[in-house]
Amino acid sequence: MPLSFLDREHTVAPPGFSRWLIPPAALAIHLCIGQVYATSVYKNALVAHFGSSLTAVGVIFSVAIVMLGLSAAVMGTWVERVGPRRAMFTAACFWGAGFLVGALGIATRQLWLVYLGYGLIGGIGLGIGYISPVSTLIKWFPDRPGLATGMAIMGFGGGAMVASPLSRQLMSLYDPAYDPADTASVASGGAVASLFVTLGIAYFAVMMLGVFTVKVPAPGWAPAGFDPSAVAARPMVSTAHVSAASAIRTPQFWLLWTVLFCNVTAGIGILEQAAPMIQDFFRQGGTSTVAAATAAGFVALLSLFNMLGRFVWSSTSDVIGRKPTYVMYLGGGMVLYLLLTVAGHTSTAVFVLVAVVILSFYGGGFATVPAYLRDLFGTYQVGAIHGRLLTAWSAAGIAGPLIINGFLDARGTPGELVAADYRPALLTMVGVLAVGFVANALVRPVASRFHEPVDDGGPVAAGATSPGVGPAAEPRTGPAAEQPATKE
Amino acid sequence: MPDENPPNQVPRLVLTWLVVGLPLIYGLSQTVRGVVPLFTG
Repeated sequence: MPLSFLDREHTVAPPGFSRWLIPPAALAIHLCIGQVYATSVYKNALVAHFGSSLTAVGVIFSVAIVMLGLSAAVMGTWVERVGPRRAMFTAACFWGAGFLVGALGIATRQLWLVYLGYGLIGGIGLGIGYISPVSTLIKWFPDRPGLATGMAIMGFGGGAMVASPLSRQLMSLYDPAYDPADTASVASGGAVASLFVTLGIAYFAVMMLGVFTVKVPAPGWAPAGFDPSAVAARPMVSTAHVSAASAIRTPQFWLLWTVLFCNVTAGIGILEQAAPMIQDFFRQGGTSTVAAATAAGFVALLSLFNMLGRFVWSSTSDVIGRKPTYVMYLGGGMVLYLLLTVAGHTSTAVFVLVAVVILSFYGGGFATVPAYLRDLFGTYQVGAIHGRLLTAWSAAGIAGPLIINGFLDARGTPGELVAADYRPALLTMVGVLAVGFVANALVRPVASRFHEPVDDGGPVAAGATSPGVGPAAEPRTGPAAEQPATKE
Repeated sequence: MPDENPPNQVPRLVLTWLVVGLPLIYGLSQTVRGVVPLFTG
């Protein structure tokens, strides 16, 4: 195979390799692909440049997100097979190339080329990049999988935080007439094309840091002082392995799919209309007491808590367990949404406090799910299973805005409404969270008939908690040996 | 195998964490600046 240095067998860590090199390798990928949530920065510039509608330009983002879900689902097994380095390299090529093709589309005023470049090609890079480090992180951190995946997926949230101000500054560099401090100022199409070229090259370079840093642990490796039996003794932690193909035939997979779908849908309910929502909640006599700049500050605070929730709550799940953590996200979310409906309009402090906690749960839901999958399905193909689960994200990305916009459109125009107009939408979100809460409550250990056969000597059975790499550490096909027990 | 951390890995650790940490700090500081109007506006 060309570029054989990217192969899994060439990325096995030598003795003494520090596992703390793996989180920055993962962050290098997620910080770059997280840019996808910063597309609003140049949206108006593209509308003006192409002379098209906001909807037509918005399709660029939609195509990218749909491709994220599809490629993560379809390519997950391939990512597991070839290992993290080749997967990250492929993601970097697609992501970087997506920007360059998109830049060509902007420079030649061909919107379809931007769809093809950033949306389709870049979207494939998004999906592969998102799942590429997950399995490796879990294997390096068998003692703290929630912390490890939380760090990486926090990077996805942080990526937009970096890209938004950076893009504004770069566009002002390429177009001196553009004032990033003035919300009415719009950059030229040429500036956006130059921005795309710059980001494509810069992101490719940063992602290469991840490519050349990432390594998989040697068979039998375990962190110092790690006791696999202590982890295996915890409730709802399996010592067995389930393949991606088998996983999607289990009720547990679809229950977790529902959990993620509901949690993301509810979070989008606030994210989608955050700025007009806070102004509408405090509108009296047609005038809001919340200024536009204050509303923008609220949106920034939400993104901050969305990012922090990914790290804090996912790390917490290592201590309290995955199922109780989702009880908190979904049950707590229901209470908070009710509080927002009933008392959100009483003071901005209450409104902001409740909203930021809801958004921290939204972010936490993304970051905790890989560890939940590890607990239920083992480490064998957890990255591929995670990829398939991310279709819930794509589905929620469609359902969430449809629900909130559907209710609000029936009441008027966001930015001209009052708190009472949001009640039907918010109460619907309580119902959505209740569905997720029930799905989480129904999660039980995976039945042994779905487990992969284990080696006769039994070391593979410990693979879920004692990480390894390559065929020696993976379940083999053939007659099933005695299945390891799973507990709740 | 023990989880060793030989001295020759320290520069690499510092470099890799700096490459991802500095942009993250930049993004965080910019976001915090954006949050300020919420408490002063």
